[in-house]
Amino acid sequence: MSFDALLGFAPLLIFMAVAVCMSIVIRRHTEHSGKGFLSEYFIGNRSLGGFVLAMTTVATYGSVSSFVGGPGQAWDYGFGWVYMATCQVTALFLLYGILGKRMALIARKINAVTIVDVIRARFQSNAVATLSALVIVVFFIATMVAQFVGGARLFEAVTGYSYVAGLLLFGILAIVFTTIGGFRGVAFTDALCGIVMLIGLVILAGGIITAGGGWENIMVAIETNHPEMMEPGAGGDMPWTLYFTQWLLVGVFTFCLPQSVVRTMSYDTTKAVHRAMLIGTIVLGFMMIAATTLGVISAGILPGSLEDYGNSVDNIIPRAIVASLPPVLGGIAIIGPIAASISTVSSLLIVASSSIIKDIYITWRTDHGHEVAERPIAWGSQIITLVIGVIVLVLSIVPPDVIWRINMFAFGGLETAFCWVLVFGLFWKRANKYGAMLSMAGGTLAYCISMALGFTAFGMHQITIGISVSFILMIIGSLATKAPDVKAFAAFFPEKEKA
Amino acid sequence: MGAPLKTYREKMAQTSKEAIISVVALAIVVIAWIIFGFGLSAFDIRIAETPLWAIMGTIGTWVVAIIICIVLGFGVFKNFSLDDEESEDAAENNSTSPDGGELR
Repeated sequence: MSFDALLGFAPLLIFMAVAVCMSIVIRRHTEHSGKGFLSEYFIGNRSLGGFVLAMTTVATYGSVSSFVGGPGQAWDYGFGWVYMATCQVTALFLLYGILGKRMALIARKINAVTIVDVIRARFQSNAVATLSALVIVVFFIATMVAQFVGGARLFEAVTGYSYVAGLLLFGILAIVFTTIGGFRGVAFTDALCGIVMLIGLVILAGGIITAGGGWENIMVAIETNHPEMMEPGAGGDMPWTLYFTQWLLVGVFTFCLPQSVVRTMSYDTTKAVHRAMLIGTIVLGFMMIAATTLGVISAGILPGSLEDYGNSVDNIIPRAIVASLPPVLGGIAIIGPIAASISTVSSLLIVASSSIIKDIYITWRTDHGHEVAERPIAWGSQIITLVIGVIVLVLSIVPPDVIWRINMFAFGGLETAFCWVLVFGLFWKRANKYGAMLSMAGGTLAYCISMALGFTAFGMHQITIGISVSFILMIIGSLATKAPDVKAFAAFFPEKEKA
Repeated sequence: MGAPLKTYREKMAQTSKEAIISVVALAIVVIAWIIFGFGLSAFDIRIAETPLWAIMGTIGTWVVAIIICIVLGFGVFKNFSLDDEESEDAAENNSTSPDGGELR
């Protein structure tokens, strides 16, 4: 191992050691809290404060594609892509403003640990709950594989070590600290990842601007070589339909992603959620705008055509790191995207694991009259977390070719499945289990089929089809069938006090 | 600021109001984004060789979102206890909670 390679590698090793130590400390700290295992392992006993809540939500939301794929596109399209990515500044206030406190109140009232618990209690249906859990597991596994693949490819490109070495290194780390630390461990390591992402961005920005001879020089170079990069329409390559669908996909509807919604059940006070809304919007906005702007200014130091960079925009950021930073700083910069990958995987892993153990297994056992003791649940939860993690890791070693594209696909699928089930479930008394089942199954199916066939409405992303079908089916399904008995889910719509 | 919210029903009603306000806030951000970006792109104004629309459409919109979070989180949205004070009070008074206690 050359000295330079070791220097490039050292910061990542230090970061990983800190993350594992953090999980172990948190585990030891909470082990003797005396509170129930499930609530602690899957929801951190609803005790997160504002800063950690903000950072865990941002780190879950900011994935490896925010640091690699998005900036790569910005290198190609210019400032229009940064402008489009700005729609993500709405994500936090929509999540906490629309669902934040309502979910927190309901979750406490019905003692819910997962969002599937909430869906089951609202629609009084095991079928809807089981379908929700299955949708979560399937789409989450696909997303996690995409995260691992993205992170490992970046690792390979920057450090020169093999793809598998990178994958095993940070893949095993993510699985281990999630299994050990549970939700609280994930939340705190997410906060660490978020901080590291910000540091990585600042270092890379410094490197690119210096290598390009200063900000103004870079702007002049871009204006001269690619004037269309200075227009919002990118010379006709970014039509309004692209803007519109990206607003839906990565802006407006992200508030109903299960991995984000579960965080609304995990904080301690309303002051914490207000603080998280502000801190999260500041951090997420900075992260998304800065990361994609780095893609644009990379054009100042990587002026060639796409063919010169391996025919993939995903190679742009790794090339920019190598071209603009010395090994040790490159080693720090690379932690940002890898931390983004790890934090997204760990958050998905803990929710996927809760879906299997809590939403499917425990419900099935109790429905069949069996008591489930705490100790086997504790072991089972950790084993399931470990098993899902290993499955994802194995799938990532030889990833199917389509898996990289599955990331955005899964995003849209989860939004289609959960958006109206959650919104109507929480705010419309008349919504019932038939509407929910039709909305979730029909919308997801319509989305997947239109994606598979490449069918679009007016050239827009298939999220428009999925979300519209899901909306219509929820309304029709609920109104065409018997109104539900509101008393059965009084926690969602409390009656007026009788005088 | 009004009286503190005490009952579960009052708190749930407040969350409905806050959800609607959040959608209004979204509309404000979208309008700002359109004016700052597409709107300003009609003018060839540059700061440090960077188009003004690119700065305002991104950083400007972000600042608007931050201001909205300050206004909502520290002015419009209300603070209340997330715990079920009502049931606790009811238990203390040895009477039944109006919304029927906990669902399981």
